[in-house]
Amino acid sequence: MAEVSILDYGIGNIGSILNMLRKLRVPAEAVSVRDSLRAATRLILPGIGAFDACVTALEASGLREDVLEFAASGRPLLGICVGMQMLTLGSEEGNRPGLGLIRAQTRRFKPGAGLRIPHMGWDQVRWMLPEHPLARNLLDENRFYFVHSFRVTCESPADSLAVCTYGEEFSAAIANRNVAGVQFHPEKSHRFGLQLLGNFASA
Amino acid sequence: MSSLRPRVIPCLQFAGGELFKTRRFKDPLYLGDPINAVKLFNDLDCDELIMVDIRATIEGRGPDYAMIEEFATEAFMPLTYGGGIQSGEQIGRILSIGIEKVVVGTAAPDGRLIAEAAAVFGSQSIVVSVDVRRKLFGQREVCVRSGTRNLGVEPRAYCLQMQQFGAGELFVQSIDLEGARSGYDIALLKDISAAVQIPVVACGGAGTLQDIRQVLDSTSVAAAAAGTMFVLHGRHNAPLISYPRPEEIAGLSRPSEESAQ
Repeated sequence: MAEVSILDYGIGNIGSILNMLRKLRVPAEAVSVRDSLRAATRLILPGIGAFDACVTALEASGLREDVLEFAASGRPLLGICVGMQMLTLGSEEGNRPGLGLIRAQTRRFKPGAGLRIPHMGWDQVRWMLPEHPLARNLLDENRFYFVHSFRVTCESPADSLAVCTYGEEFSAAIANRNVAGVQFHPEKSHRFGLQLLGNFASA
Repeated sequence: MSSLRPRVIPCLQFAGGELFKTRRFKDPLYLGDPINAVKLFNDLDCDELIMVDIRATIEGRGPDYAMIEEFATEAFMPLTYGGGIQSGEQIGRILSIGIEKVVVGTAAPDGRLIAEAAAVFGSQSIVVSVDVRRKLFGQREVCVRSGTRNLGVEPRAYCLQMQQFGAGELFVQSIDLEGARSGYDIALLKDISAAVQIPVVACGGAGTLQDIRQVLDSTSVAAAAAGTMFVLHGRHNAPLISYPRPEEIAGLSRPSEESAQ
């Protein structure tokens, strides 16, 4: 029985996430049908590329409502990269609404002098809620791997689990009750990513 | 200029399950097991890794998926694969294994594959390799097919064209400097990194951390890649995997970037 299920709706680097969970010896599987999603203990929503493409793919998979149902059931849900952005109300990158599970907006980086987009590479985050289970054993100097052109801002600062600064401050991780998201790629962030995914697997 | 700390990237060459290091794209020196090398670089917390199959194109075969999958299961960092890429289908299969970026070289010039792949997979996963050879009188031109076919194109124009096709990153390698440990081709990298908006990865010529510092300080490249200095040691070229310590890497940050934060 898988402890972590990764939603396979045709988008995202599921292979990398499975590889890291395997390294953590956490039983994990990719799920693409309703019955397995309903039976899942914890769910990861991956996402990469354009916001609308991800939302459209999720709808086409027929599993959008099931993800909302999963979140409403109180079981842990983690969005990664555009998967995190999909948890918000919507994105300036596209026209489709997000899942609205966390009251936040996904916006363009403000164009600044020489700000190179995407924000790609290793960056440090500041944990605003260090006592949160996902932040267990993680420190402000820990670095994570980011690749994104849009950034999330929470309506309530209480939902901003970690922040990062790139031209301006944005939410690098968000959390509201059982729903959480990370803008960076834990599956590509060495020991710190292992720690975070391990935290999620034991949440 | 506001951007992240520049990345330092080992670039490893392999073929048929063996790790090699070439010099000026020739004379492959056998170094051991590539999977072991990936494990070692992973344990050294390196920023990123580039794995190049140096015989895939020349032998006219596709990527060695079984080997690539072994790399992906050992590397918990961004991983780039290059070698023998001819189709979007191959790129899709490699990305699904858990590789972040795919390098296209020989199949890049007409732009069709780059445009198609960027549209399907996103520019961020498509890297174009730009192998540059120096001619007499300092002129430079772009080569493909492991340096065996000259495109007769000047590097800067080629890079701008690749950016327009949808490349997300350029891997610019100086053929003549590969393995020379005499420093990067600063003039070339300065010119290209100032001309394009997408990240440029510099490769070819690094022998010391000082060479890396020099290319980062005097050009706008986003990353410095090196093979020889991370896999060979000393005058006798003894195989030895190494990578700068975290404090050495942190010391490579550009001062202007820190103040821009």
